[in-house]
Amino acid sequence: MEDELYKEHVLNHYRNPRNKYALVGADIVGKETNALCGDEVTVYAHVNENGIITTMSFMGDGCAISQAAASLITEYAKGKRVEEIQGMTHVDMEQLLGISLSIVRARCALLPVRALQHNNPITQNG
Amino acid sequence: MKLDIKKDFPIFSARDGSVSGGKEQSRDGAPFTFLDSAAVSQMPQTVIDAGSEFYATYKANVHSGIYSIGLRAVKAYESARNTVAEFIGAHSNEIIFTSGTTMSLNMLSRMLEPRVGVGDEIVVSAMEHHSNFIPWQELAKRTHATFIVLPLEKDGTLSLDTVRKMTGPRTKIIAITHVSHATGAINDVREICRIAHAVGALCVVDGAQSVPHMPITVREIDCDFLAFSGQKMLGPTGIGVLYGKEEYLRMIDPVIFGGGMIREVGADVSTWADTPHKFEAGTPHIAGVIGLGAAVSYIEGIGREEIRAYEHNLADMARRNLSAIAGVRLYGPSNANEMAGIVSCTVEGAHAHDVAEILSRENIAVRAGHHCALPLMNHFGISGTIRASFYLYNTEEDVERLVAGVKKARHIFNV
Repeated sequence: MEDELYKEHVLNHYRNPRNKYALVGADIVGKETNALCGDEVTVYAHVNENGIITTMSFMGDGCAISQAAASLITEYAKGKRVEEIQGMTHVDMEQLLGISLSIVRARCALLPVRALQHNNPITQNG
Repeated sequence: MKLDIKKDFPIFSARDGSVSGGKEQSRDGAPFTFLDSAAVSQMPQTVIDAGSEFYATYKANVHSGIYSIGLRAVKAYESARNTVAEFIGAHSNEIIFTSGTTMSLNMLSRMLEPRVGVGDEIVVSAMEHHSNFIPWQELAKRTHATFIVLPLEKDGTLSLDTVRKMTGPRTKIIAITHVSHATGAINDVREICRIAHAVGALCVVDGAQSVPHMPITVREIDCDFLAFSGQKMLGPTGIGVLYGKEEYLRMIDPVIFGGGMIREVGADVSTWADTPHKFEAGTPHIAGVIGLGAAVSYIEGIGREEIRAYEHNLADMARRNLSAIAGVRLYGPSNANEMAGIVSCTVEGAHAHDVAEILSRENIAVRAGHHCALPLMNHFGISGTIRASFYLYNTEEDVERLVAGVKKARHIFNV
């Protein structure tokens, strides 16, 4: 694992986020904010009858780590069970981002995971 | 101008050459640049020693010790109270020790509750730290008073005209910060106190960012209450002060009850000790008070006029050099004379936390985020800033390192 936090891989996802849109008819819509730094992420997912994520997208605003993590997760989650993504840990996020994270920055990286744990029926449009 | 006092502060030799990044790492040669004194300042060895000496040689309670170390503890505790009182031009019975500015302001909001009723107005500004905002918002809620938040000018300053316009005979309390912890803007609290008194209101000043950095006396400002913290003025954490005019403190009832604050206790009713002791229930943070006294002595040894001028020079240098970098936006008034030693900025294309992280890897400590001032961040329409706050141990080299670090962040983010 490389030491530099702002590897090109992370910066690329920060500058050119993948799947950054509000998914229409999502089965899961969840929002999470980090009150400490004001980062926020809303995740959207289509889930099939077997509990598998078929499409995932996000909207959000915040630091490079939180936004790159959200972008990476939307790609990683495709074809995986909802529970698996909801259960991702500090170590899982380090592997996905390819960097090591302090306990403070791990909160940023876990923002999309926490967002997926909340399925907010008020904003749910599916 | 050079103070050359870093050697008095052991943290610098302890942290020089080490960098905390994702995981603790070390990098040879990078000196420790600490630019977060507006949150917590570092302690000179004399302050550490004063606290340690209490723990090692005369730890005892200040309430009841007839034995020798108990008497010594009382003497040291009350002597620190005198030192702090003199420092702000108050009488020692006007100095209440608390755990910090937050506790001072929360306690005060409870102490003043009987003086506020339905339809009265409690006034704060949009630049307040949450600790000088929420306690008053909550007090208004409990008493059905009106909570008024004074709007700010475009540059985040508070105009005296706004204060005049939005206060009146219904105003009972104006709570205002002396110096904005988020932008460094200085408020004319003397004039604000005058406006408050003209309408018969009490004026509460949050001095957390001013008392450590500039000459200030309560008689000159004529505030009714002043709150400040030890940890921001070279003292220990967990210690702070609530100053109140004696005439008010005598009338006001305590809101925290227990040992050390009573005169008589009966089955139906109890009576209170004299001020300030009636406001200090329970065993206080004795080592903290003694440390705060030592911190005040250290500051007095250098002089607050000197400290103010010295920090002003560093902050001015930082502002000039940072504003020369494309994409860097500074917050606060453009007139440097209206500013304390706090510099707040954003870097286009790079989130404040990412900039702070990159600086941290250069062994530079700054604060990033909303600084517990969400109403102010909303006013600017941003989620947060990068804040560098200066104190007497900082140097021009610290400013140069900060500027180079911000340039590096811009480079990494390709902006």
